[in-house]
Amino acid sequence: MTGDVRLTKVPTTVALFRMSAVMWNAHRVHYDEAYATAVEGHGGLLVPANLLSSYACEAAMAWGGPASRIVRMTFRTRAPVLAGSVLTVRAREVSVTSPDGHRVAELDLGIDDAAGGTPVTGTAWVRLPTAPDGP
Amino acid sequence: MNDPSRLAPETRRFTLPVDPVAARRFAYAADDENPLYFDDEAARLAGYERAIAPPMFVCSMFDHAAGPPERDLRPDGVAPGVFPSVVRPDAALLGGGQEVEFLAPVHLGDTLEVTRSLVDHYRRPSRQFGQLEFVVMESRAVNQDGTPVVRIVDTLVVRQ
Repeated sequence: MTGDVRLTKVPTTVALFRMSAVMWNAHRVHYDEAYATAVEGHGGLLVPANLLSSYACEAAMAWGGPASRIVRMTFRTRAPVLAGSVLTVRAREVSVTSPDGHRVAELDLGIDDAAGGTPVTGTAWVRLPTAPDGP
Repeated sequence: MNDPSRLAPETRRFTLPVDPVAARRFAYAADDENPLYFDDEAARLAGYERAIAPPMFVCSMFDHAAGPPERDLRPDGVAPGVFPSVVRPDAALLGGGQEVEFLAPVHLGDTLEVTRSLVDHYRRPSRQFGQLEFVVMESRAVNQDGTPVVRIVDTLVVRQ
């Protein structure tokens, strides 16, 4: 397969605004920094979980290629992630099995921050194409 | 941990049109310009009928409504009807995690019927935040042909 995938992502305040806007999500922790810090005590604006899971999903799809299919994913947010963080998004093969005739890869997913923490962990199961010209 | 007696039979249903503009806005917001979301031909080459929605698009839509008006939002800006009644209006909310099964592709232009239910509610101590509550909800989405496309279990971390 394609080997480990590593993406660099920086969730900017503009990205947070656009994600909240498309979801019609007015949760102030994602765009109102005074509220997020003074009222809720966070260190800045919080990156929405679905933006983080989207990054992890992109890494899993990049690992498998366009003809693969994600069949299942799990994500866990272990610590809040602040806007402007420089993130490394990882997808790494754990195993490939053929439970029902299709090859399915299990991927270990992680999002690391610049301080060495891993605020998001996850697992994806990706069904691989059977065609010989697949990735 | 789990105290089923506290669970109300709270279920909501809503129709979610997979609007191509909204789905592509989502992709740009997530910094993901995968051609599968933008180019029908690229999607067909990958075995789809036409361009698809980013997988997390459907998993992010917990409602699809025009409202409520601003005066009806919670103090933190969250629309009150989106979460079950076990979540108090002044509770601080954080996304805790998600488990998703992708059962069939979601193409741009599809129309989904989503059923969202409260399935669990429990408390657990946290070193950083003291006592936390966890509210677990399940969404099932079915497309216009009656095909189940996605099942989502998501956990909301609540500081009441």
